[in-house]
Amino acid sequence: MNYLLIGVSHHTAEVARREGYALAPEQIPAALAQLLAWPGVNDALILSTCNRVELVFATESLDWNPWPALAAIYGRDLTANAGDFYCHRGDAAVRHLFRVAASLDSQVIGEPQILGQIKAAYADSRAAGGMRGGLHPLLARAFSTAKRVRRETGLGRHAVSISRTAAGLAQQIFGDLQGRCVLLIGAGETGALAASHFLRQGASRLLVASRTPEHAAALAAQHHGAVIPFGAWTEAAAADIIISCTGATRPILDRAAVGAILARRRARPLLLLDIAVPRDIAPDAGQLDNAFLYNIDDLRAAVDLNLAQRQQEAVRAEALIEQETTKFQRAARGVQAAPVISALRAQCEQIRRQEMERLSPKLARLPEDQRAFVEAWVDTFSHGLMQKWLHRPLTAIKAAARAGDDTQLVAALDQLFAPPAGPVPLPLPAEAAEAAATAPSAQPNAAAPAADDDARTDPSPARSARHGAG
Amino acid sequence: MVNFSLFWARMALSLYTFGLATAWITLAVRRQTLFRLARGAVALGFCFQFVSLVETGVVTGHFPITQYSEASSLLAFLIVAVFLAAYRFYSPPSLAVVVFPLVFALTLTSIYGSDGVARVGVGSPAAGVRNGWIYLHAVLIFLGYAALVLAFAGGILFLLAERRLRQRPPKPSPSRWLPPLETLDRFSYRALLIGFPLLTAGLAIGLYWADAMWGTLDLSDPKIALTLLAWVVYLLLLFSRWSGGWRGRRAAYATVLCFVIAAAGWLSGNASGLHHFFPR
Repeated sequence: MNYLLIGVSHHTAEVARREGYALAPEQIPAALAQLLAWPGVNDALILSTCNRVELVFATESLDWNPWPALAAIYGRDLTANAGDFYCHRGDAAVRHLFRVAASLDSQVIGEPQILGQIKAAYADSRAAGGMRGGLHPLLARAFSTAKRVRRETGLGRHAVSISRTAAGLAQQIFGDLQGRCVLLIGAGETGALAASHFLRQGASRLLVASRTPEHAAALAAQHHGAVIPFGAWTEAAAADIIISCTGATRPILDRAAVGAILARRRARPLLLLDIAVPRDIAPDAGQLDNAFLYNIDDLRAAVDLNLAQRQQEAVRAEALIEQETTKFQRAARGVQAAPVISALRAQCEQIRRQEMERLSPKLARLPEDQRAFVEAWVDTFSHGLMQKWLHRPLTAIKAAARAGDDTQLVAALDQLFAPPAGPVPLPLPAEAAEAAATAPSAQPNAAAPAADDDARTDPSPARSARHGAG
Repeated sequence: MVNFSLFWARMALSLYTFGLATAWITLAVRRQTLFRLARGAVALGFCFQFVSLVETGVVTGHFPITQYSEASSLLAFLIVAVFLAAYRFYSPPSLAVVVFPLVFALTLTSIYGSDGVARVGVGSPAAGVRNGWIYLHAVLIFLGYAALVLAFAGGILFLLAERRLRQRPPKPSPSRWLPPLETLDRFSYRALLIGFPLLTAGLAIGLYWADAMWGTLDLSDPKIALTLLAWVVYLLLLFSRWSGGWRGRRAAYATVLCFVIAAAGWLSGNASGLHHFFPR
């Protein structure tokens, strides 16, 4: 199977150019149908997200030209824009797809959405009649590789946004955010964003305090929250998390105010997030027991640290991708050798059958009991001879295919032994058919070596659809 | 009658060793599944220790508490019992990292400690010690200690988690092995709450019994003095928590202090006039 991947991403084209190539979800089924029907294309996949458009093909020939197909789905010739595109073939295409699925190629490395998007693309292709063997093993391996990267590296573990960082800190203090109350001081946009992130994470109540009560009331109404008067900080004791983001030039909460809140809380822990500049909460309030104060610089520093950690993890992830690419290609070459091997076996078997048939008139002269004996003997003998004769060439083909260093050998054998069209339709007697069935490589089933991948990842449409939402 | 109790105790010790090692490895490799193995080994060791204790009791003809080795084995057994019971309700593997070494050390001293080599032919303890009340006294105090050990484990983890949160820049990703701060605080508090009445009842029985036997209480006895001191700290800790304010770091430090005093009381066992263990 020859793989080709052509695409645009944030690495190669700015958003202004990229948006010209994006395919809307409703366009994708038609485009897929067109690509799947394209001569020379066995299978196709379209991945279109805000950061990338990628088309993956399984083709019959090594040097298939994708541009006419692209021109057909976009309704214009794109060869002039070739600079925006990258085009990978073979190993490079496999590696690229694995990197994309593992979120190593993403704008924010390690972000978890991309895998879901690829799963949705897989489901689309399947719905359009694709994924019938050509790209299926590749995609299945891409999913399992992405999972392996996630499992064995810390790529997705480190939060890289201020709100996720804040949520992570809250989680370390409170565990579940369920039932927690958030107080937002200042009804500005930044603070509102941070507060709504906590609400999405499960916090159940929002209190708002602002110098302009109308703003506070509007924001509280939006999130089914309540307003507390600005400055009445003892009422803030209900809040487990206080986010402060006002334009005040002097601290709003000093150490004594935080101390009073803590006392009212009977010293249950309190998370204070001061995302205002200049700061709203006196720094020494953070020294109080059970008060955990973080200012905007602390949060930014944590994000930077995590970005650096992600980079380190990315190095480990790249090594895993390299391993998986090699493994996949090795397995795929094994699949390529399978038809040659089965053709070889079938041809030998055909010759043997023919010779047996030629022998039977001569054997007819023998008495009944002797004839049966001789026939059985000749059958066993010729079968054994054939097996022995084939053993070394077949082992050599399998080894060469697995090692991947000699596809020429496979090609040469293909030329020498493959019958002109399709497998040989021979009415095999029961015994020979059984022998053929027990020889595993005699099955010209391209999907067989990928079967274990299926069991692990099972990217069935129903399941992909669920993940696809991500 | 041949005494196999030492053999069972050794079995228990090997299983505890395995459980301890596996629990530590769990932290290193961050695989929760491995911890089930550790817990299973400890639970099995617990059964062996039970058999060992019963056999000791049968052979010597008294409750296994008259020797230091027997008492350590019993305490280790009760700590595991309380740990396994607590595990049903609340189960971070990290607690095991603090609890298992203590269990291991106690079981180890029970086997290889000064008086643990041979157990057959123990002289009959003083008649007073055969009194059922004294057994209840010991078991209740031991159960109180076991709950205190869990509270101590929670306290240690709390202090570690708190330190992590006060680091700059902060680490926003939750630690794989440190539970949330509030969970730890609540766990320690519950353990203290369960342990306190047990310890109080055990002490009360002891005091009443001492009064009945000798009519006086020797406060210069280190074991009695330290255990009473631990009880006072314990009481203050709970009281200040109820009255508000003592939570979090201060409560954790107080729990650790309480544990240290109680442990000192335990270790001072052989220096105690009233609580000395019987020689072979």
